[in-house]
Amino acid sequence: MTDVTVERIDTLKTGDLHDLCDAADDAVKAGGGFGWVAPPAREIMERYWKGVLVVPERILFVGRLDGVIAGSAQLVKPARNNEAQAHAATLTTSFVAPWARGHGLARRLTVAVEEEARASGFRVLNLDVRETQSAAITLYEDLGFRRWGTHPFYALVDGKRLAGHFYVKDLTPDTLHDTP
Amino acid sequence: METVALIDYGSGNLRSAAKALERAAAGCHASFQVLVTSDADAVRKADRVVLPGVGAFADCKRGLSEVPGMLDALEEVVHGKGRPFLGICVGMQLMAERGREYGVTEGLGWIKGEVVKLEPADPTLKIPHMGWNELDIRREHPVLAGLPERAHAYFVHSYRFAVERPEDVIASADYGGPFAAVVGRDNLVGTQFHPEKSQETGLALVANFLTWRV
Repeated sequence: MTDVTVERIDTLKTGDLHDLCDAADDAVKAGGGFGWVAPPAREIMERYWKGVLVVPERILFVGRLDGVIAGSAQLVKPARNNEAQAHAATLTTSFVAPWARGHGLARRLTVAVEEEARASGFRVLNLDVRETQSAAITLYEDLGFRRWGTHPFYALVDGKRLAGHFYVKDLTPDTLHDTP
Repeated sequence: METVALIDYGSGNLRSAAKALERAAAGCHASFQVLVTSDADAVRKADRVVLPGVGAFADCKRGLSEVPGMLDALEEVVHGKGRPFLGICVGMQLMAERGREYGVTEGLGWIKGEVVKLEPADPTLKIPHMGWNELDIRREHPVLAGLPERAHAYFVHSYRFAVERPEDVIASADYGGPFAAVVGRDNLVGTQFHPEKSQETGLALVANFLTWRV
């Protein structure tokens, strides 16, 4: 029986950091829509994840399969000076390593980020995704995210232009259109 | 208690392999100590040996050669004592006579054949080959015992082991053409796929390896 868990983490033990780098590396190689087109050097990848943990606006969630980190997602809060958008958070850099797909890890990660956004009082959760990420698109639409736009030149991968879709989810649909 | 040495020679993260061994060991009746080690003496004394490997053949061979006494310890434990040996991914490829990744590098020479570039017949297939493929089991082997008929395993590789003697191929898989997925003879077995990432199939294989009586 496969054990699937998702948790918010604030510190990374060495073993977990290596697992997270391995998982991200695999996801990038598989064209997983993580920001990189090709996996960076291991030191750069390690610095990236350590950096995520020290940015106060970023909250990191990891998904584990049988105890090994196999994916992650981040909730990004708006900068403190951004009063007009203080109601909106963003889900970014969600990925699951190819070996760990098919166990509902991406769904669990997305739900965890959404719950954190609600608990933090956000009213809107935004995300964007490459047009080629069809599994992710299906998942987000199934979870109630609404596509509001498409950027025709969202990413440049191997010299090829890719479009990206932008989604929003109303976390408090009854009050979303309220005026203060 | 039996000891299982997982050789640490600087080839990537061994945590998932160690965890898979520990998890499989927990499900066995016998008790095992999983030792992640770069100590040649510990390998020499081990009851079972696992050689992982990530990256290029030449880098892995160099890394293994640079661990003091490790090549001799491997020869002694595997050939002198006949202890069960499992090679994973490049660890499996190292069992070949030579590798042709970034020049020609001599392998351990335990199984006849060489490691060559994966060249799928269908040019649209991406390299590296990355993903889940069905295993075509060519012959019965204790390490594959009880695996379902259409067992799938997880592969990440750009090179394949072109095995010279067909009887040394225990299972194959297909990626624009067949390639060796599990090789072995006597007390040696190796998987091109990653059992530590192949979930039920991988866990069953690792458990079989732990209880394999040569």
